[in-house]
Amino acid sequence: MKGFWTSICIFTVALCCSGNAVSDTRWYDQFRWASEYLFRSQYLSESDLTDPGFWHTLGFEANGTFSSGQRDIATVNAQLSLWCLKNYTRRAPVFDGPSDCEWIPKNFFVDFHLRGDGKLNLRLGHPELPFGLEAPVSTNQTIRQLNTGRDLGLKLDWGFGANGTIGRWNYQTLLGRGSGIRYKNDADSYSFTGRIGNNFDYQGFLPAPGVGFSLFMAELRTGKDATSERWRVAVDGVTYHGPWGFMGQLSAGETNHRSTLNGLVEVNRLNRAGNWIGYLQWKSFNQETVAKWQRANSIILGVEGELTDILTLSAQVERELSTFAGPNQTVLDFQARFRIER
Amino acid sequence: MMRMVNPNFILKIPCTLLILVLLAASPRPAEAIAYCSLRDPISAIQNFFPNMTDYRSFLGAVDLNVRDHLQAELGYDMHFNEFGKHTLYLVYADETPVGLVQARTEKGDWGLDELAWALDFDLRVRDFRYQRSRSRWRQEVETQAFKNELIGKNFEELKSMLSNDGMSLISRPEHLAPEAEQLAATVIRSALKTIAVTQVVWRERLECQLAFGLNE
Repeated sequence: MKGFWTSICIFTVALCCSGNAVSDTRWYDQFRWASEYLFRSQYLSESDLTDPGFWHTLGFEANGTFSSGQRDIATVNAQLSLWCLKNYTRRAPVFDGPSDCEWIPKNFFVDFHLRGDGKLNLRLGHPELPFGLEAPVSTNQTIRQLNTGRDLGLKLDWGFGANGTIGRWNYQTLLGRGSGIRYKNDADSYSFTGRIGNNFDYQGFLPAPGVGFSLFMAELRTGKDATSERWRVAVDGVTYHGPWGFMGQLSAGETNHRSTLNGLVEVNRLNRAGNWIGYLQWKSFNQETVAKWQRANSIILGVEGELTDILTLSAQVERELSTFAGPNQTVLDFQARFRIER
Repeated sequence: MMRMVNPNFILKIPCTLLILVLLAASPRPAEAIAYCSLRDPISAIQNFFPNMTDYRSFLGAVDLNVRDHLQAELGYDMHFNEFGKHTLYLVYADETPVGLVQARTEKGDWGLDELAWALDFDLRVRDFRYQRSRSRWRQEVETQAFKNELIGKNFEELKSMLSNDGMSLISRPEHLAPEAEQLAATVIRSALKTIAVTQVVWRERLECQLAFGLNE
């Protein structure tokens, strides 16, 4: 819970620092507010003997900018979620067991605009790692996921970094604690992530077209006084041809001095109204061991549809073709997301 | 090997779906469009105003009153589903205000297109560019020749370029391919919407910030 209270402190400090800067308007008029409820169910063919797992999420979000005189001075993004699992097998390490509830500060950060033209901002808090397709693609509360979590060992981290947009290019960096969602860190860990790309200023289920180049170096906390060393370089790209979208990511590096090579390819298709999207993914993880290379490959078919302004339904089936350990599974996911914005 | 799924779970799925659909079909707030669908037009601001040094954002609520105002001004209905809070950017070069930037969405060939608009303080078009589009004829309407048709025009002048129903051009410029005419009309409607929304939602706050009035 220390991370949660740190988030609240950062949020409060940002409000206090900016309070006298908005004399012509109330500070909350400059904020967007959202609340959401998610119901997610996952079934693993070889692990869930009879019942699938359930995941309920209650989320609250605030996003707003504080301004002074002729410029914006800080932008706050606060996402706080209550995650409750029941019999959920594949879960984040932050949970104590398959049935557990946790308050999670997700993308919870402040961007201090050091320059008024958007070319240099200082980000402080708990953001997503700016690596590969995770930067332009929004995977927040979607069952569709990219390689980042498994490839890097983290998806979010506590830390700070510079970001900005210069012409057609956007850059993001983050120096983090290497401890992921938990703020608590009893190991000598860190993470550094950086990305430069030209699909800028936007995260979407279908991202802006462009390319990106990323770097990741870390000593990740794996337990009390235990770390794992990793580094990665990656290239990613997104392009569209009419209703068809294509995106891919290739990363290479080492985990504990063993070579690794990971990739993702996705083909997606949009309907004419733009509210239904189907996608086909291929994910590949390849890790060198003493004797041979281990490989884990899977194919994923999914669909997401916005039924109304507040309801999004999604479903996905994943077939594992090979795994590092354990049997090949078929994984079924279903999610309903209610979201109201003000 | 696939195992048997508990029959209780099989029953729970359609029940849950039914409840969700019923909930979704209930009266919904008019301001419920996802705000994350619009991109911050920072790159566009830098492109429109190369000498800019600062920008200040103003959040404003776009609601049914704005749509009613727009329909009254135009005399016809138009695509307008962007209710909720939207951002207007006031751009400065050193201490001097130089223009306004706003991003708006329009129905495209596949999903929504997104355009960034730059206006001057007379609410005339200064420039525009696509931020996102899968429309086939996008490049035709992003040429400087077509931009020159719009730059410097105000609401009334832009409105006079469109047919009575707003769906086609009164006169197609020679440089514009016939197939691109419908998209060109969409771009002009987007400009009209941008100007009208700026007038209704942000005029008062802008005049307070600028200490001078916006002309029309």
